[in-house]
Amino acid sequence: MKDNFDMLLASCIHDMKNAISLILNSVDHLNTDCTKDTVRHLANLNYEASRLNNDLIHLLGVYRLGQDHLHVVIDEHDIWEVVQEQFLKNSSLMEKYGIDVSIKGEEDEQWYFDPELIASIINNVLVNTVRYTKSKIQISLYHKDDFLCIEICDDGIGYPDNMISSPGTTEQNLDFRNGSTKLGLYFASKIASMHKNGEKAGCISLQNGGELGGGVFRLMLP
Amino acid sequence: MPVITDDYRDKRFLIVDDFESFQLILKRLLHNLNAKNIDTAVNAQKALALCEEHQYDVIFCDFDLGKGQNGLQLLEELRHKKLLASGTIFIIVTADASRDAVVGSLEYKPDAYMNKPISAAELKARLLKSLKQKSELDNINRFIDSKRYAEAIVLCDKEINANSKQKNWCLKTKGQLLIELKKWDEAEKLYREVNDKRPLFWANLGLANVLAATQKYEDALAFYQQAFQENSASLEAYEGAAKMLIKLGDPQEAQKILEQISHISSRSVSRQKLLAEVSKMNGDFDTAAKASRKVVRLAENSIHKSAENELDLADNLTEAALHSSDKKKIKAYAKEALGTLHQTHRENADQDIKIQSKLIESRAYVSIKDEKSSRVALEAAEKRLSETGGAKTLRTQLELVRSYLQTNNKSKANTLLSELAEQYKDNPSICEKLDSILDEPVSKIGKKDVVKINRDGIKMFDEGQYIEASQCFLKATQKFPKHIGIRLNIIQSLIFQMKKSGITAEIIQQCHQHLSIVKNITKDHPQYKRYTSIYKTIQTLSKNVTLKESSDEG
Repeated sequence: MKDNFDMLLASCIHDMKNAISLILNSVDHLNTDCTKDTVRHLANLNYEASRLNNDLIHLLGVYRLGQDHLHVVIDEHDIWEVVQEQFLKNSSLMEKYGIDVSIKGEEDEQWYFDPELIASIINNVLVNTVRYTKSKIQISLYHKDDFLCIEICDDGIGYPDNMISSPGTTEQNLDFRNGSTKLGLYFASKIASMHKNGEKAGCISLQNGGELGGGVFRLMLP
Repeated sequence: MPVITDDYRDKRFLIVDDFESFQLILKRLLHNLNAKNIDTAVNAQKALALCEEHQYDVIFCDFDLGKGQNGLQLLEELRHKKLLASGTIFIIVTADASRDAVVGSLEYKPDAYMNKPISAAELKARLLKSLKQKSELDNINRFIDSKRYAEAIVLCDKEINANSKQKNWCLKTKGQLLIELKKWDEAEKLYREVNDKRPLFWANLGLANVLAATQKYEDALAFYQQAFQENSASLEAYEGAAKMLIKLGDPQEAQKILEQISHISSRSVSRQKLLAEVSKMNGDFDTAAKASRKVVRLAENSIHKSAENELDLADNLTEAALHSSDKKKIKAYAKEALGTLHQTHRENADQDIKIQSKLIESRAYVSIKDEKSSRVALEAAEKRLSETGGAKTLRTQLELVRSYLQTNNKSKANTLLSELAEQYKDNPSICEKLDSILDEPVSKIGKKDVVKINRDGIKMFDEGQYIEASQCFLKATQKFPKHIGIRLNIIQSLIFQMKKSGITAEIIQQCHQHLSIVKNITKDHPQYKRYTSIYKTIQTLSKNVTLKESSDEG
């Protein structure tokens, strides 16, 4: 019975994800020669579909976490490449919103992490930041105390105070800028904490200010 | 080294996806990159046919291909049939980010994974990256393809020492190549060095494989356990642990592990084969029959298809029939066994297979007490045997012995067995096989072993260490599964254990399983009296346990 439900849920989400992929690819295809107004509508469509896509990934991920079927498999990977790929995945979304994205850090940077899961965290933050930044997003990769930091800054209005104090916990109220649920941050903080190296564990944090004066999302991996 | 450009005009692409709309999307994206030659297929079978005709540069394959083989199985088959050039790039596309965590052997890994939705910019970057990587590793892959592993290792070392981008891939590859070359010490050193820097899943698994190969079963088990705790989707780690448990004399725990992970890689042939093997050891012939049925079904239309699988299925069905006391079940098992055998006999031209299927058939007829048909089948096998100059393979020889035993040709069986024991006296693994057929070992090594095990086990029993004693005897059933004395010793140890610390349904169940294995004991057997007395004890204890359970519920 449990296995059946698992299968049903997985195949249902699989199907929804396929549908959203089709929508996103269709939006991409439409993206030539149209009025400013249409571009804005397309941008919204693109943004919402991307968000839905991320929500589904998180929904399935959190379900698997609960079932103890989600495991972090850590190996050495090129973090720059993973970050770059998430940017490229969303480049047409950024273009439609007129957002300038830059990546700072060392190319060929190798670090220890689960590429799929970390990619989905970065992707989620990028998509959400699109809505709240003014014109820029900067992704920085740097080292601090045996941790690799992946920082995503924007020049928007920043995060509300109650989110900064405890990102990713379930006790907060539901009203915050990452849409109506905090599934994304919850998932991010879980995945980060499952990245372990000896005694050290990964974490996420939110701040305001940073290099661009807006919100700062930081993922630290040991 | 050739210059890598993103000019795809001369490249040939294949897209495999069961959704036509996805084929179209990817096709359009590739067209935008100036690709001209793009083929599509909706399933693995069509993809295979296309790959037989054309040499592709890049294959995009959805993981989930609906019914039939999935993307990884297609890759396995393509590589096995050598339909992919060493330069072909194989990319698995998935809709949900969790991939089937089959680490798998060297040759069955895709070059890359991509998650849907795929954007134009992402595709462009990934293609370029994959082409670059493929070209950088091309020389190593060529050596591996032509099995020149030592030369491949030299090239891997170059990348590792230069701390290049390919270092991680080269370390993993080198470890597997060292294992292929049976250079255990070097392989162990490599994995330990990686782990010293930072413990990683693949290094734990590699280390476990080396320890298993060098017969350090307990250490290997610990590393397999560590590996599957870290990555609960790794079939390889679970299978490794199960194999170690068998070696360490605990096939029951091994079966438990394999049954617990039915949700992982449910289409894996190797897992079902292992389950069939271990459940047979445990006397759980129903599970063995079920598992080997799955092997045949999953292997259909794949590289795993073989007449051996079908013979194993028929054999296990026959064993299930011979060990059951439920008439309906016996009839159904025998019918299925005979159906399978007739088909195998018809479809295979190989004399050896035909002989083996006739031999198993003779035993299947015994299970439904059709002595006449049994004799006809055995005679047909004997006739073919004499026409083709006797039994060619060990399996045929063993099948012949087993059929003689089952059809009451004991003296023929014994003569043949002692001939074989003489012929293979220097081969311990074959001696083990021979010793497992009869209730008493035939080889010298085997006879010595039984004496020692009995001495050790009985000593523990006398000291009141009943659990340890039962484990000691249980370990011996791996080598001597039919040895009636050892089986009865296990049951007796379990009975005394229950007297000491209480009756449990689980132990009763185990006793029944061991009893069912020796249930065909003949009245003239020296252990017959002991068997009936133990049988009665278990019957009484079973009643107690059911009474107790029903009163618990009430």
